[in-house]
Amino acid sequence: MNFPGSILMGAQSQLLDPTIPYRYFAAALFFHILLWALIAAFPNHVAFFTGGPGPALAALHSLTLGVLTMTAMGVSFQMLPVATGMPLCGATATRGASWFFIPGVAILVWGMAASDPSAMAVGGFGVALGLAIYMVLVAELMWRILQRALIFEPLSGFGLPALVALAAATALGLVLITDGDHGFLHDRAGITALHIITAGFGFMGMLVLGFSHILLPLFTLSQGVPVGESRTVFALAVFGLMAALAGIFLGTPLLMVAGALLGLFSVSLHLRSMRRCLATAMRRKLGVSILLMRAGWFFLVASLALGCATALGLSGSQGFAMFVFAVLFGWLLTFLLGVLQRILPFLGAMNATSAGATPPLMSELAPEGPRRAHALCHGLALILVAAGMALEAPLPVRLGGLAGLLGALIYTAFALRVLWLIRRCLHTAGKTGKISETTEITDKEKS
Amino acid sequence: MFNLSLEILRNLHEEHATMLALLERLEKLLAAHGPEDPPDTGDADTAALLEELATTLGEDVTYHYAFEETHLFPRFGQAFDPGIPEMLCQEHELIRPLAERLVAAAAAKESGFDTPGWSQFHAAGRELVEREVFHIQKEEMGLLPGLDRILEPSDDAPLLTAYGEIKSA
Repeated sequence: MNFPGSILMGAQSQLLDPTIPYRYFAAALFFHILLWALIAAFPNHVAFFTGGPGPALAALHSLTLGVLTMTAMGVSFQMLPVATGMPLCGATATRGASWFFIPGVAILVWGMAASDPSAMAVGGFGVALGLAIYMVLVAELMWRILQRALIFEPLSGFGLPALVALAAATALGLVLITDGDHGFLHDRAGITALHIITAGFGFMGMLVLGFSHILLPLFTLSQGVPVGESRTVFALAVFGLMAALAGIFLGTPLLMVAGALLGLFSVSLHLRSMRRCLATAMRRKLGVSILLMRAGWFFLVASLALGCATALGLSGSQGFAMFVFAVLFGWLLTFLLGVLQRILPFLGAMNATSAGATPPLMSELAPEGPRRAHALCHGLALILVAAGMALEAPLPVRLGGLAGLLGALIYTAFALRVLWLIRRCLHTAGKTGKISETTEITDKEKS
Repeated sequence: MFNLSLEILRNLHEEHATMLALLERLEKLLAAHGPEDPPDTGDADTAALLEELATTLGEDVTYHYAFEETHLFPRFGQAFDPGIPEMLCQEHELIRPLAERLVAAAAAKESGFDTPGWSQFHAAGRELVEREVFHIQKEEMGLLPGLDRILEPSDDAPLLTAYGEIKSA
């Protein structure tokens, strides 16, 4: 079965052992708290951040690796086999990736915060190893999707370039860590920009676009995005990304602007598709999560506009930092939190159902109150930290960090409640859900 | 959503859309009147909603469910994952008693609700809305598109007849 709705059907035979995705989600919750705590504790470093190791860089990587990539790994491992009806080629490897990646991120973040090159090297190596396993597993699955479907599938179409970008971002990250110790790079700022763009727009951005074309119609019960439209969004995004990267590499602002403009065209088409999904929705009550997703879209457009202004030198001394903040915190983190507010209870209910338990009610799993409180704190944190960075004022950054920290704690309580209720549900059913070993690929399936 | 090629599947989709609209109205009523605050059943909108609830919900859990269980789930289970129809049947079993309680209470609307009666209606209504919406989501995004792939155009007429017979039985 490989139609998107199979996610909701809880295609039982493809569900992983819940401990696999949830270990990534649990780690992401920890790093979400850590990143806001670092911002609240070291507002000076954030307000005047110009690059280099320190608490601001640690907070940034708590977000990019600890929250965004960590969640992307958990979601990919859990949802790709269900959505495509094809198992991953090695469930043990999905655990192996976590053994390297999760401690790797912790060591890397600690190394960055303490400006310890050895810790950064060890952490960076662990992260790279975990990501390499992830990339091989997911790329192999996506390759099979492409071979079988022979048409553009949003997951594999957007997913494969995302993996290429992740490989590039990882390599560039390792180069930057090594350079920190030896200083061999002539243009460290350029390599840093390439690293940020490939990671933010190339990896996470492509994944977000691809998953949106699947998940939003599912949540809203609406018309899906036509394949032709999906292809156009994809093509414009890839060309935009390549133009921007070429512009940075060659030091040509016009190419960077062309990249940002192509990105804006792609995004406007994407948002038109998303708006149509919402307009044709059979289910209109989406709660506060849709507000977070909409805020994420706003920041996506704002970040591309800021990118244009930065390339043309029109955004002032804090322009680049604001651009990075808009991409990572405004767009990706906000959007992800909105999606997770809906996905976590869904996954929980799926796991409970697969174990034969009576699925708990969504309102029990995800009460609206904590979700609203989290969204409010998150919004406040974004505004205050952005204002503090723009004005180079530590106080708003600290207040924003505290608001973000409170929001992260509320979010963690919300997510832990979901996990606890599911665990209780599974315990009552006397089962532990479908175990990953059943999803080991057979030679027949491979062919 | 998907463009369904068979009339029988389009009919089921229409019934889902009608049910979702009804559930949204019920959800609004439940939000406006807490468990201790019974609505005035003399109010025209409330009366219309309860009347529609008694007929549409009753028909849904009787005919719609029976048709799916008899004619569609077995085919779907054979073609795809047999665990899925099993899960959907379990959901039918969870929803049926809730619906029966609501239908009975809605049908007796002339006498109005006392506080304990409304409180029970409120709890059952909230649970029904959540379970039925999640159930319809699964069927709309999974069951119907899956059936659209495996059913032949020649299956359409016999299935329409079978559904008609269930409804008229």
